[in-house]
Amino acid sequence: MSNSNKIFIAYLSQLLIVITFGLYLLIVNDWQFQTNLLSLLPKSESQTADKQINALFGQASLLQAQDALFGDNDKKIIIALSLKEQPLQQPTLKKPSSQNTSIQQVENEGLYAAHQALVNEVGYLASVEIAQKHSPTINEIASFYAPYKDNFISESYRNNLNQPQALQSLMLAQLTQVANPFVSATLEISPRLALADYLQNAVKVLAEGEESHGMIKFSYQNKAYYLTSLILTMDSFSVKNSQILAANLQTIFKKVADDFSVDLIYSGVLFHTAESSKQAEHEISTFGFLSLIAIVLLVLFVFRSMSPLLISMLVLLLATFYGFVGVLLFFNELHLLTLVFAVTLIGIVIDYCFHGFVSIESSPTLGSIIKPLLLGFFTTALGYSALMFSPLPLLSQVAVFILFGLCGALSFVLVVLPMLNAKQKINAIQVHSSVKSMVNILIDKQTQLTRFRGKVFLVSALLLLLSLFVKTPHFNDDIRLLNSSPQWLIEQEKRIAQVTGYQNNQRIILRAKTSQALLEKQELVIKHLKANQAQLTIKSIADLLPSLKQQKASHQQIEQAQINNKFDLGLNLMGLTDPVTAFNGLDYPTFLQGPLSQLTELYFKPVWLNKNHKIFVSWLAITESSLESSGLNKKNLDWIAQQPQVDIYNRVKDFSSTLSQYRQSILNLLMIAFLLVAVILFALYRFKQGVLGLMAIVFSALGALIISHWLLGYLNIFNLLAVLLILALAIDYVIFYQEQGTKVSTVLAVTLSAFSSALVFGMLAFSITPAVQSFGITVMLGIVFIFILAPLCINKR
Amino acid sequence: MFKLPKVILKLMLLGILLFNCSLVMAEVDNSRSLFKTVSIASGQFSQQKYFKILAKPILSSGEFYFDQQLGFLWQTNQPIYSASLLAKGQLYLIDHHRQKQLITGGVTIANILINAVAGDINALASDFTVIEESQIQSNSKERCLKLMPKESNLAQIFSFIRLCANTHKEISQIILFEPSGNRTEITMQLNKEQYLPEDVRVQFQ
Repeated sequence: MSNSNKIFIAYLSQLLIVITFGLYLLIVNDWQFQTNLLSLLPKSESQTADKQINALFGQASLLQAQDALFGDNDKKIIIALSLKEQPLQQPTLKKPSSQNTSIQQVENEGLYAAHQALVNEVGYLASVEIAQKHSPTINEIASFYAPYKDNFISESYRNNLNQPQALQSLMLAQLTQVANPFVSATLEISPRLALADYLQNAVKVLAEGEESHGMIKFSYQNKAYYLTSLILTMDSFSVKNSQILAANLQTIFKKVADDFSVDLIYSGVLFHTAESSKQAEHEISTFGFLSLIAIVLLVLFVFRSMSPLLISMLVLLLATFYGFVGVLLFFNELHLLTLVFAVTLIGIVIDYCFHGFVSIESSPTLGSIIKPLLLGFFTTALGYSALMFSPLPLLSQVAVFILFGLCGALSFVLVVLPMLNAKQKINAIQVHSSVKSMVNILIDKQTQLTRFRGKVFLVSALLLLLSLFVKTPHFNDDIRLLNSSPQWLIEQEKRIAQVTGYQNNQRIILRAKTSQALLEKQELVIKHLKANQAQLTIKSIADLLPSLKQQKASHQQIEQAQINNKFDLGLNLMGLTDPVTAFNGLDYPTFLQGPLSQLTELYFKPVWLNKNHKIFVSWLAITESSLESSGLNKKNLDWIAQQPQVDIYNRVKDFSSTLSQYRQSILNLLMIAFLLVAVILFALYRFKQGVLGLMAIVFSALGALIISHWLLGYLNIFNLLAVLLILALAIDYVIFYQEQGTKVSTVLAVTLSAFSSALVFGMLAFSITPAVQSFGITVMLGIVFIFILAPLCINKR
Repeated sequence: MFKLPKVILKLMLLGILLFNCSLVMAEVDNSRSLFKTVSIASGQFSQQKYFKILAKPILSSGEFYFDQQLGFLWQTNQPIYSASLLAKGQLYLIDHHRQKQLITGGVTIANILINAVAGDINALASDFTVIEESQIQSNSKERCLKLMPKESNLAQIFSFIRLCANTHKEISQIILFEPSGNRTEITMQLNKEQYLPEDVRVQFQ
């Protein structure tokens, strides 16, 4: 058996294994498409939780705390109903008040009816339900706190404990209110009204809007909004389901708004997922389709035969399949953005095909291009292999997809193509004579330019330096670059955040080993923050469940005041007594059994880091009522930064910060990659040729980055990712020119490759997703530059 | 035995139902006509709060101002100062130290009080079932309505409210009955105004 047959059989065997295994992974194995942008960010800390037995409060537990406290928010949908705005051109008539209220009443009835219709329609959908909020009655709350009545005193009550007159005033103020259900419910339990005062303040702080006809009413900018919450009962990030459910809900929302003439806005991760995935699918299909059309036309034009086209399609299909198999082998999910970037595989794979097609006429076994193809592949593999180990899942997936895909493509081109040609299984692949003529013209131009290559490189270097001096590039690492949600959805999200007061809301996450330690930590943090910023409103479970230590202290203060007869003036007014009971602390487990347990689940919960270790986590919601300021001041922020297990929660900032770190990592990676390229080039082609090749590659990359910066206004991690791809392509071009000079076959193959890659990446420049757009622009520019510069580094000898 | 045709029986039944409905409607319309709705007014009030556990009621008095377009101020002067201010859809409580704080969750009750004081039965009808009560005292010329809350969250606070109007059809008394058995009796002297005093209007800004 000849060597070529043995190689062919070996190839077929591995192909069979890949196909079988790949089908198994695709069909039998449990995997999914992932569209959650945040899943692109690293989870490495949570994977090392088991190793952090002595570090319960490492980064892992913070991520788990965030997930425990806020993870369910991604399954929520908020709908806000409001009356339609009156048209501005209508004069506002001053109607009699009874008519005004009648109109108001009719309009409100419309809102209530709209809500009822919404509830009915949503009830027919399987994957979503109305969020049920159990609001305990005031009597239930009062009865629950009764055994602990002397453990709870508000700040204002505490400040007046030594002043009988002030205490009497406090009691009178409570008693003379027109309607105070807390006084009515607790007067018999605690006549000194400390409990009524405490509960009133606590509930007031935690109250979010007012319940009205099954909705929660908020007022914002003189307009009333009635909010309803829905909960998803399925995984909100399954692409197909999220699109279907989002579409169904949007149909219902529109119908309700139209039927009852109300304004209806909504927010929820579901809709962002649906819109982003639709956009990504549209881009994949559009860009992929257009890229394919462009390449088909190019191939037909050059070869005037269907064979190269069909073989190219087959190679692309195989490469894509290899890429899928590679990703599913190492990951159990495939992110949608991976597919968007993986469109670039088309451009690179077609390179191998072109080199094979143009060389097969003169070298039927492709012996002349094996070395440059292999060198190019290994160089690319070296560059991408560093990405495979990146903690950023997107980069890892893209790298794996590309590497496996290139492997599949290369093996086909080197093994199968010569076999098919030799056995005349395909029509002879020949380049059309007109194309050869054009290439010869191009070669003449390149040869002319090569005479001035010293000046070309010098001018390029000066231009680059000048550009860097005039406008130093800066990086934008905002995670929102990955977002392609439409503006109307972002505006609705913002409006709902404004209405509910969450727009200017800061969150602090606290962690502790025990529930009591956490309650005490909460009290310490709240006390410190308010001491520096009195206008802060802080919502937390601390308002309803002080620590046992605090309860004991309050009880002792009440007891002492009782001994000193401080309450007599007030109690005598009512003719009542209120003996202080023995201390009985209300602890967390008991609180969980009470009527306010649903509230605790929102703000305070245990988290199991692993099967042996549990911590308690809670969060504080902080708003600042002063119009001049927004959020915590620097002094408070600095203090929080020094506190162990107290962290500001800012998802966008955290992820952007992480993105920034990875951008820096990629920058370092690029330095290493360029260094490796330099070593390879010097090793292969010696100093002078090595320098020329290196300059061509470096100048192309730098030029692409600088012009991208001019066009976009900033650079980001995806511009750097593009440089990695430019590097891979540039290496191929430089190596081919170094190995083969400006032969017709080489120039044609490189030209075809450059054209096809520029077409593919040029389309990505039109993506709505800023990340994809950045990538496309930089790669396209880089290819243009390397196409011009690569021929200049040939060995003139 | 003379048998009426079924059709005629059905028609008679329908007629009776319609007649009853019209009676009820007329009754509600009549109820609303017992009270004159006022859009801008001020006045004085005296309040007695009866708690089951207390032998005597808690007495207080003060003044009130409202303008349907601007807001509502309910100010207790005796025995201790406090005020509830509803302006721009927000409710504020001012304590005896004159410290003002925003109250979340009290706007509904404040609106109920405003509508009650203003005699706006139409507005109250969205939250309450309105029933006309027979005259309580044979010598009194006051007419009263009983308001039963429709929603459970209001029913926690009021089991029902009694509104009484004087011979001029102005609200003269509001009695709030609580599920606990406590009640609040408010007697009012209402003065219709064209404009509220400037120092009051400023508070609504």
